[in-house]
Amino acid sequence: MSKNEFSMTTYEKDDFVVLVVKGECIAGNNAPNFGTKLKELCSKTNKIVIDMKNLNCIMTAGMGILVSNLSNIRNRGGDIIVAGISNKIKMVFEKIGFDQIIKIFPTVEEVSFEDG
Amino acid sequence: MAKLILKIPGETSYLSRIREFVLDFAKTLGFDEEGLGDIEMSVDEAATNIIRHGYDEDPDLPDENKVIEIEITKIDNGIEIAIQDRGKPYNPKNAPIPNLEKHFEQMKTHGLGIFAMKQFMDELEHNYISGKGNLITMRKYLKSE
Repeated sequence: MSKNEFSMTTYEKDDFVVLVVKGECIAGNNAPNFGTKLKELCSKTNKIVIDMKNLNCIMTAGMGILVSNLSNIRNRGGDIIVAGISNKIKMVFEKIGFDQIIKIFPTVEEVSFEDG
Repeated sequence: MAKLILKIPGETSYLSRIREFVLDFAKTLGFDEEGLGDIEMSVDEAATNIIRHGYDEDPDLPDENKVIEIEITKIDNGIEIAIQDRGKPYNPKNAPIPNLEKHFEQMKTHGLGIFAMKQFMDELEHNYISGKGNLITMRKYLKSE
């Protein structure tokens, strides 16, 4: 996969939809596509898991898209959860404080939408 | 290799090449995963700011001037990254660091790129070179054991 390749696929699991993102990074070049896809999913479902196990990094352009969609979906009683993030992404999330606003699970299999 | 220079079009499709260029060099200097993540984000945000605000929002700037020049240098116990553009004066050091708690409460992310550059790198300098453009210089040092 070249550095600029980026793909998104979806599947349904239990009562939520999983968006699998694959690529080197969500950054300024592909963040608009990511935003379009996430917005489309948010219009169809209230429970979304983003599987980032095949993603190496996410820049603030990508975080901005997550935040704006989080706001919309939570207003409707739904949520967006991220799963499978690398240690590198986890450390960046923690330093920016992003881990305080979005729920993070180690894997899609461990995701739970119960409690806060 | 003590110094490398990359001159590249100021377009978002080249961001991955910029990240790769800087990270490959930083890895040879011994930065750990956390340090590499900090450098990667800071460089990407600096370049993205140039493209978004310096180039995309300046219709008067000729396309051939929309380039980014990145010079990376091995310094004592660290790395220096100098990023040169040809845009209008913009000093990221003057941008306020957002209060992240309030920022996220209000579901905003504007300014996070500046936050990353200021907080993730050890030093950040800005110079405007008349007739040329902005020069942002960032330094990060290896953690002492």
